[in-house]
Amino acid sequence: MRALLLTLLIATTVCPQGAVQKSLDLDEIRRLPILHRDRYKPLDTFAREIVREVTGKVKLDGTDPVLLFLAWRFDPELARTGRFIRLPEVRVAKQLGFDIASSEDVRVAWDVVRASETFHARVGALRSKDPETLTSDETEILRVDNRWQALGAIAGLGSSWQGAEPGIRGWLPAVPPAQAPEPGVRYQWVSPQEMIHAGWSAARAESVADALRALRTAYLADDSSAFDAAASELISSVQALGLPTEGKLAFTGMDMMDREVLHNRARPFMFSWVIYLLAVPLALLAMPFRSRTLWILPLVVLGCGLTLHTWGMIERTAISGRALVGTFYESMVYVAAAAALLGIVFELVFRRKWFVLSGSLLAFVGLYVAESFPDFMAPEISKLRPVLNNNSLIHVHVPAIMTAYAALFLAFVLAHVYLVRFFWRGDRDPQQTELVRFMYWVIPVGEVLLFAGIILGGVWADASWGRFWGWDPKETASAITFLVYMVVIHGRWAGWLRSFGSAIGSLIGGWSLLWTYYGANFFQTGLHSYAAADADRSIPTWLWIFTGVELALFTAALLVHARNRRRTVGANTRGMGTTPRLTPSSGA
Amino acid sequence: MSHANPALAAATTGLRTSGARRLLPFFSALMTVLFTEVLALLIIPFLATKGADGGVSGAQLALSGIGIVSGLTLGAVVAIVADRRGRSAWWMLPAQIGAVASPLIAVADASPLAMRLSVFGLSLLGAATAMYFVRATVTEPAPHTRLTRALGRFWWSVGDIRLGIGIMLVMAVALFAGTWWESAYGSRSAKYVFYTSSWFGGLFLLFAASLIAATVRKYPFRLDQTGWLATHAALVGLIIASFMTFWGKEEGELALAEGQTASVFALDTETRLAVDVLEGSEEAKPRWTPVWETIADFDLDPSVVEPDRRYPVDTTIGSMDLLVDRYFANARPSAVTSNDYPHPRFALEGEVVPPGGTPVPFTLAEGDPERTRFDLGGLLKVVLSGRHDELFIQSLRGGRDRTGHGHLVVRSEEGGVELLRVPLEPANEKRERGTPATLPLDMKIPGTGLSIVGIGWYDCLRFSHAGSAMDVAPSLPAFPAAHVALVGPKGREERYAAAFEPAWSRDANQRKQYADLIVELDYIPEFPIAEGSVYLAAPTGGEPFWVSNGADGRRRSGRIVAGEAFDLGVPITIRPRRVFDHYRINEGYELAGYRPGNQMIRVRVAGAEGASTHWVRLDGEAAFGLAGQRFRVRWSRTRRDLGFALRLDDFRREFHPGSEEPSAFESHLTLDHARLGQAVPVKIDMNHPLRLDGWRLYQARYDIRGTEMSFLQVNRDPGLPLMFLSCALLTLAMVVVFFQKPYLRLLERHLEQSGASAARRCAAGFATLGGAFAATVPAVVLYAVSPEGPLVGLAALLAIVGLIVETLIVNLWLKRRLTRSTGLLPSTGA
Repeated sequence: MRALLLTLLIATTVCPQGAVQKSLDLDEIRRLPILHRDRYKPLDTFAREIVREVTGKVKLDGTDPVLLFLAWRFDPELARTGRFIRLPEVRVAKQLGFDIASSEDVRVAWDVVRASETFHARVGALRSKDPETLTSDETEILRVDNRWQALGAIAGLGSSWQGAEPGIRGWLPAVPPAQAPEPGVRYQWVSPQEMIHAGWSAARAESVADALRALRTAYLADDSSAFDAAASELISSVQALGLPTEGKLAFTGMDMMDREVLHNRARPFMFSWVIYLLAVPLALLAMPFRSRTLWILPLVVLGCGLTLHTWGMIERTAISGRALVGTFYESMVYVAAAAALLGIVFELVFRRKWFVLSGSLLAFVGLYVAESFPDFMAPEISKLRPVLNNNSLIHVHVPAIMTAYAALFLAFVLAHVYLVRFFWRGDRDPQQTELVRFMYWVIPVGEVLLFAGIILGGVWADASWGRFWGWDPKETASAITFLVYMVVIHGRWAGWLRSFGSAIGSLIGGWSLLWTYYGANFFQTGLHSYAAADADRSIPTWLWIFTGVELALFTAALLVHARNRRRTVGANTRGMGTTPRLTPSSGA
Repeated sequence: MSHANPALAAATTGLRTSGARRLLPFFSALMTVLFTEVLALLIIPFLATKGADGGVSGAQLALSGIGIVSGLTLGAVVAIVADRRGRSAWWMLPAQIGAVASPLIAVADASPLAMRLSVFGLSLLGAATAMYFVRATVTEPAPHTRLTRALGRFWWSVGDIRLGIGIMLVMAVALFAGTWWESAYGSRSAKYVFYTSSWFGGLFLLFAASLIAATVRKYPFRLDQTGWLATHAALVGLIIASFMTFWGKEEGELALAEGQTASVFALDTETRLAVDVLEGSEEAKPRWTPVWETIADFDLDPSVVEPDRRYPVDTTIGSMDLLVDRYFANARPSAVTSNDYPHPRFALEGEVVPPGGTPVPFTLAEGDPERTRFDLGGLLKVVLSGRHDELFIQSLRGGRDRTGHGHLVVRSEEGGVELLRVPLEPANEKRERGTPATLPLDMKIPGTGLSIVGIGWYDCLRFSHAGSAMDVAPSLPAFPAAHVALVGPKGREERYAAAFEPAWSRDANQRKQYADLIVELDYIPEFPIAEGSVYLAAPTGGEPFWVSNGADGRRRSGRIVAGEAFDLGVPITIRPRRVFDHYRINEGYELAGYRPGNQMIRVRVAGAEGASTHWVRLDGEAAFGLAGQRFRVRWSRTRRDLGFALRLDDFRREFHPGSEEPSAFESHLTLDHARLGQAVPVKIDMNHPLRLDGWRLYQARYDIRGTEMSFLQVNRDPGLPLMFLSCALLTLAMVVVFFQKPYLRLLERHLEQSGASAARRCAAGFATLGGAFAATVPAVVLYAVSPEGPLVGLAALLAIVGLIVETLIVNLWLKRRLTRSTGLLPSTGA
């Protein structure tokens, strides 16, 4: 399957036109091992991370990030004068004295930043400030400085690289130091021109430098085969130095580099959401028909998406060497997979097409959101924070919670389907009743798992932080969500919530869940903030739109329901609520 | 349930409603006793501990707990039996004798086991007596009075599901408000105002009452209500556990230096205010004797920064009034400014008015690195240049040597005879920040036999920490200097000559072999002022003034006088409001945040002859004199005795390969414990707390500056076991109530048809719960074997998978078998 995927992908991802015009074969150089941020990764990943860090996009104008990285390194003039460094929003950029015409004009050249005295004075003042007291604008300004320095380091610009040979100079932590890793000593890989400092003999340093020179020559000459050969030569010259083979920092092997390159290029999560998106119209199409084939088709497509998704998750787990419980992005990937899985399982049990529809919709939205907002949810593979890593309970706590979220979000999607249909079908339609019945199948699943997850989190917190429950915003929010769904369930039992009321309850439960999942992280600070959560981060436009649409749906549904009730008043006094019972009943 | 009384049986099996009416007396008895005692269990510790030290001991609490629990359990049995024999359920009261007598028994000086047994024995005796009196069945329905009926109705309405839903909604809204309060005022304030406030506790109590009433409303219980009963019982347990945690939890920190022994730790949650009097003199061996102490209550809610708590202090020595009028959970020094500093210090408070904008205030002060420049969004920069001598002032105001780079002057120390004066021409090259310009100079110094050689030219000389010279701002002559070498028979000697600091050029430290020669830089450049910048300067012994370049590029300057706007020649106004020449910031504090950090209070002490105000930090003190005596007011965290002693023998850290972050740190301690022995070695590290006598000691943090110190987090939470138990039961019961109800309903009908006894049906209910529990047994065993290792996660996973498998077995196999054997069809829908 891998070979098939690869051929498919090579066909679709031919190097497009962009800032750099080269026709080089980059396959070999992508595999070059790098030790960066405490993890071995191929140059492919390294370049993606760095290019995204500097420019804000992995593919700037469609340029392959590896090609852009090489261009910066081998063509310092381009790095110096090209507009690569991403600026914060216009208001902040203007404070820095950069001449910004419009909000599209978001990048500046390295030279421009360098020449700006205002900028360096500001950064100098901010660097001496207590990091805890920085505002979000100031953090943004420091990020610009980080980008400027990163680009300067890669291209070997600036005074500290002066005198070094072009092509050799520049930051590229691809060479191990001569000394093997020792406990208590920071282990870092070095750039080729620092090899002598790192304890290598001149001959060894020269062998790597030769390969780099050849690489540069081939790059400048745009000679594809020579470039490929030089890349091989570079990798073998680094490997000839002897990479660490033992201990925690043992090199993970070239196989793992290849695996990661394939994972990067295959983009399984991106293709999964495309497939999930395909399943949605298929499910809608199948709705009015009783055909078994039409029922199976979206299910199979959803299954295919889930297979690819699962493969991606397995690969990511293997590459990162830990379970996918560390970052917000990973939790989203997890929720999407659980949603697809639950969709398939419930569909196979009930066979009414509602679950395949809502499952694929939810899986699509989950993965799409995860992939589309890298500033909010960094997709990079990172090491687990020690506090998360010290107890295996997290490997159950997080999946239990995420599966619960998936189940409850399924009920949320079903509620949306119900409410949209409500405007045409009302609340007495048998299919509407069926939707509500399904809602009450998934909500208990979610509630049990949510409660179990909260309790496991408590056990873990008790072991790690010394308290079972500490009223952290995330904890409190999850308790609220649990209560809201309990109200929905009890409201149903009490006869308060009938078909329409249940859908509204599920909608409100979904909002509470969204708050628990995102709001508590991004708008409140606490122990569960995986992402950099600024208290005063401005609210993105799409969130306003989403909130508006949700409130509009909610209000419109309530208004229509009230109108319907007024019409039927007299004929039936019982709608969303019940008449008060005067006599005690034993309940059922 | 089959009733022995046929009339009652008919009443209960037929009409639910009339059955419920019949149950009212039973209900009123059971609920009243049950809830009164649950309330007692929750309230007694509160009444016992409020505002006092010690109060009720843990053993006494445990004793009354045993009385209440055994009384309720036995009482419930008596009530049910009495009800089924047509008697009043109030017969359960004798079983409560153990609970009532427990305070008396607690006073007796006996062994804990004997006391517990006697309390339980009393309950048992009471229950047995009641059973004896109700042994015969009567045919009349249980008698009820107006009171019991009213009680029954009251409790019945408390158990209404609508009240339950209402409580849950109110709780959800309150919690949501609480999270917002927390993000504004920190978790401590949110806990005080919301989560552990008395109104929230009242809500919990009402919830518990509603749950209990709803449970009793289900009587007589049916098999398919097993899950329902268990979930609600577990919730009551959870509420009791959270109350136990609330009343009984203690947490704090034990700080240990290497080699130090401690048996007392400081609580995080409670502080004390105390007054001591000095006996003897303050200088020689001061001896402070405590005269007054109280538990502080001004720091419970950090959102109240002006608590205005007044404490009258009456002692045998004298009386005074303490007023705590400020409490800052996290304080930072604040500036109360005045113009009486003993040394000249220039400062300016003013405002900048952008064209058509609102005034922006700013403060600049000499010698304060945080306040040397003010930037108005890139439009205007006000820079406080500081105190300088005449040469720099000249440079700032206009300079005089605008073309070349001044003259290098060599003079002899005696008489100051000028031996050489040479115009300097540093190479005009583009250079990086840091590197000096080359200085082409090689000349003989007439009459000395020495020659002077240029090394480098600096426009802005700075020395790095390592001591190497850098030009931090090429082309900005802020501190121009020439670096030269004197070469002669005694060797080579390097000198720096700085234009603005002739004294520095003459500094003896620079002069070694050729100490009689002085190298100076005679150069007053025009100090470049960037467009949109205003420089403020205070010359030594002169009036402060401002300098800037007007729109025409001409240099403008003027005096700084309070209230007079600078004539900048651009449409921006700078107006100084206060100008200081002897600027002083008086000590004071202001609120930096609500998260407890540097906690600080302001205490005003008022006696008969006057008053004084003091800032006191937590675990700090302030001394004052009153009526001829020296006193001190002390604010400290409450100390608690662990009951054993620990000595820190060694503190060790390990590092992650590849980083300087410690991967683990551990404390090696020696334990001195009455029961366990004198010198027991123990180790505490990040994931292995020490559990002893109900205390848990975690490795929290460390400090290796100076003596190695290890900080252990100490806590005790008496509610935790019940909390874990309730949560586990709730999880199991939720599985039963959500996913096994249809099966139970089927089983109930099957048992009904086959005429099974009540005991058998009861057993079937327990068996269902037991089935769910059995599914988690492997997980529990695994957890028992390794409670802190990496297998905990596996255990949790096993539990979840076990429950899923058990549910599948019940629904796919047991239910099918039951359907097949009985011919009953499972009912559909909830």
